[in-house]
Amino acid sequence: MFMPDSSISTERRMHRLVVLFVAVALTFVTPRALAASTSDARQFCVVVDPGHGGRDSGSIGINGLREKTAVLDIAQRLGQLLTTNLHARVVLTRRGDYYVSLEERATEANRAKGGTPADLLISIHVNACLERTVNGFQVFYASKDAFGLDEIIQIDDTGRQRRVLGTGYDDISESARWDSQCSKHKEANELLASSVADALENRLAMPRLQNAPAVLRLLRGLDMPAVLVEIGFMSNGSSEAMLSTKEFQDTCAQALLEGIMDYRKAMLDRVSFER
Amino acid sequence: MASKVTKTFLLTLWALAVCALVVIAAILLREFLSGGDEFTYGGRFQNTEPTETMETISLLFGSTDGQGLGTELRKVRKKDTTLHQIKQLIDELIRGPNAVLVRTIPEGTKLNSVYLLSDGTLVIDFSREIQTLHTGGTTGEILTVYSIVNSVTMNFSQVETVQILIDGDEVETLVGHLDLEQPLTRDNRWLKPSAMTVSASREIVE
Repeated sequence: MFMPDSSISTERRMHRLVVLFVAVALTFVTPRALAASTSDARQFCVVVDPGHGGRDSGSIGINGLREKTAVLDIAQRLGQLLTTNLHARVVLTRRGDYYVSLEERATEANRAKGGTPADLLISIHVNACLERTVNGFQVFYASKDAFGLDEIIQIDDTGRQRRVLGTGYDDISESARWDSQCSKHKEANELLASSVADALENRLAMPRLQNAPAVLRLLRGLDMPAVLVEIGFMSNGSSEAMLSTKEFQDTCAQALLEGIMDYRKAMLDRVSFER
Repeated sequence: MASKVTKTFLLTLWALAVCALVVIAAILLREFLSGGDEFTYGGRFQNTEPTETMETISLLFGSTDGQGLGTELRKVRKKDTTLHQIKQLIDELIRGPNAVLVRTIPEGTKLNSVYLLSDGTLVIDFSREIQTLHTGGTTGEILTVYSIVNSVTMNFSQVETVQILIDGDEVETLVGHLDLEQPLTRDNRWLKPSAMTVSASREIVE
């Protein structure tokens, strides 16, 4: 049956060859394509956001260290660690010294995982204030309260109930709905914040300042758990000196990695407990 | 020759004229003493100043641990209208603390304008220096913004929310962190009850 049959025309032979070729090709391509799309959906996706950049230098230390430079170094190191240790898909909102608006960063994060929101976002900054003795790290997150987005029920004179958001919108308009994405992740935000803060406290020799919710522009429109981490104060001389060293930057990145890992574990434990 | 009638008549007339003059003089003297506007000329006759009232306002500045806001009570000359009083409070915040607390608004910032909307939103327009001279940081930004928002809402019940503009424009953030696109409400989280409350009675000379 499989012996070459000289009675078959050349045309028919060519036709069989083409069919054979296509069949073989499909067996190689299709499973890989399927595997790739499912692994994209399953792959842990983290957006790492180095604050400021370009014309926005962020805070500047007395010895000239710029926040935008220090946080980019830490962010890139964290990206490498996430890829190596967690096989995560890492998206950096900027990879160099250029300006990216907060809205662009949020939009990118909301589409980072094949058009859908990333699994979490961590924004890296260095703090500053006018009191130069102040030092420490602090983790900020968005909560419903911070944006005044508590849902309240208003009952009018006719007894009709109306659900309104605390910001004063009369109906839940499109922009309010978009802006309140972050409120869906209130508990996850707090969990991520405490995991990251605990990890930083283990690794960094600087005071731990209390985690706090804040009305942060970046976090407003994010549809994923997210925190903004302030590592040290650029206004503090010793803090600036530490942030200038590669060793400290690596330690920061390592701490952030561990915080993310602890958060992931806590979330999985929570899910399995609820089951 | 003048008859007796004429003489009497003239005498009466003269007496009346003298009386009239005396009355006018008395009126004029009274006017002069009460400081009426009509008698201001060459600065010799000055209007007396109406009596001014003083009041105490609460100003929020940075606490010394850099983690919140402390209160300074300050005596100021009371202004006539609410809007003038609000403007005065913001000017005092820009002037900075008199004692141990830490400045929150960059020195060199100017208040361009202030207006209060009917829905209780206070719109404050600052000059660009509030951004360009700012030292940055989320904490620094929180202290600046909430020293303003909390101070005005604490002192003026008519103010419910605060919208900050920079040279007339809406901005995404002050220095890259806090959302300034929407009106802000008071956040008591940043008040430090343990921070010193200072009574500063030094009068501000305008």
